[in-house]
Amino acid sequence: MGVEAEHLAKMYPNGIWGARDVDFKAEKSKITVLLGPNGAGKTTTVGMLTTLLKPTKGDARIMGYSTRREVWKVRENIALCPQDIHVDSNWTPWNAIKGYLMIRGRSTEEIKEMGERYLKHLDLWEVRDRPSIQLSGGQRKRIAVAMVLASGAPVIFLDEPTSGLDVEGRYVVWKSLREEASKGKTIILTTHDMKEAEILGDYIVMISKGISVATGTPEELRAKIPYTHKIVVKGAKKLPRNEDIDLGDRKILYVESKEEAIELAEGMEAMSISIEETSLEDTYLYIVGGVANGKD
Amino acid sequence: MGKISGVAYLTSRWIRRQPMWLVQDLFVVAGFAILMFVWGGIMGLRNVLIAWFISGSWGMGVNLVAQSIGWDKQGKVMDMFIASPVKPFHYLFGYFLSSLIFLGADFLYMLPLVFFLDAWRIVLASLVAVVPILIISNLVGLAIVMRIKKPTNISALTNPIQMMLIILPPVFYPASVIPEGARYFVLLIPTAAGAEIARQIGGLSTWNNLWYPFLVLAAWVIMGVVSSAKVVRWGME
Repeated sequence: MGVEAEHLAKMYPNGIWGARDVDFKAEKSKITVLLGPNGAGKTTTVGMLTTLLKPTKGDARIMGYSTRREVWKVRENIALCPQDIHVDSNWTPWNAIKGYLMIRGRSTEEIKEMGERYLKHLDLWEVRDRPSIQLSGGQRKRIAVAMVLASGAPVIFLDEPTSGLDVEGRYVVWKSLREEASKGKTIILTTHDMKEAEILGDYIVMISKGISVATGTPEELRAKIPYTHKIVVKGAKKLPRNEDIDLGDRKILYVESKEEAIELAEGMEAMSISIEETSLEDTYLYIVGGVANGKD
Repeated sequence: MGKISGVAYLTSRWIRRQPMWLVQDLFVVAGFAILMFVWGGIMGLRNVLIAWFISGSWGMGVNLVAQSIGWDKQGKVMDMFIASPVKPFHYLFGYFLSSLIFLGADFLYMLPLVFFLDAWRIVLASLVAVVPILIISNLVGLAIVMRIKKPTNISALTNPIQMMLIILPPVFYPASVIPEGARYFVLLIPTAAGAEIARQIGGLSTWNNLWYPFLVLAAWVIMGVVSSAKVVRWGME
């Protein structure tokens, strides 16, 4: 097991709980996604797992080492790409990866080989000698991702690595992460983007209000709700029953089968009606809503 | 060693884009040499050598290292270092080594003057003072940057401190011109104490009281260690 988080909780000195009870396991060769909205406790959880923060309660094991008692052993086995990382404006992509690999104890030959490989993977090879101040925001972010992926650490943490990236940049990062996972690394990634979690994650940990409310593969999580389809109604004049989610001029109704959706839609009067399969987002809303309402 | 050299490599990259900082130093060194020679002749030139060593080593810690660490904190690069096998010693020593570029450059600029004045005794005397000054300035810089909430604002604090402690107290001029009663008070300032040590060992002082500035610097080292130890955290906060 790459990472085992055991009921992690963190209260900051101002008395606010950053995380209340986060509990999950992340296997080797898999991408585990910590999924939740802003302020859910994802970054605090990563902080505790990477020894930046000391848990108020609970413990975690990274490659079998306790984050409380074996801090230096943990640090030898991890690499972190923090949220909102700003690499030094004087660093070129080559400088950044070379310096970071020197820190990680790589030989000159390894630095040359790994540096070239990962800068190419992250689409930075052509701009390797340009100071980061001359690069786009997305390229600067990819420098940090290249640094941690090239590190050789068996457990890699990436806190919202694709936020602010364009579609192309996001796919470049996704592809690199999938390749790293296939080489046996444990990858922990945070995001609030349900689509990203669904596409990239082998295993998903849903976090809400500092609590890991559900864990499982995307398929397992989708199966947690009793609905298979949803009807999205725009400009509804008449609905056969109350909506499940009210977005003003748009209403969402969940149903247990496609047939039920079609039958229900026939009795509606609206500007437009569409029937869609439920997604991870619906699961999240269902589970979080349930927990928030004390139903789960 | 790889960790220290890695940090030093990364933190010295500014030189590629900002070599003008080193050129600026050249003009400061040359300008002060002319100024001191015009007003103080050869004795002025001998004194300026000491002042450069003291101001360079003090500025390195309070200004350069503190500001750089401030930017690392702000940009989360420090978090990358913490979540890695890098230990605080590697990080600080790496920064220290990369910052020696300035002292090294200053020394190169001074060399013609050192040869001209045959002032090797002054150079050695200055180096005796530079060691504790470097330690104190780095500890003070560290204590400041770890305490403030917005580390990128640190230059608003460290620049005035740098100027106040270099220009005002007896660094570019000897402490012996100050009345003896006040001299003990003024020499509580670490830069002034360092300069006085260098002057006395270098044979440029008319005052013979080496134990006092040494005692002052020893007290500053202890205070620096205590105050920075309280605030420096390497993760696990």
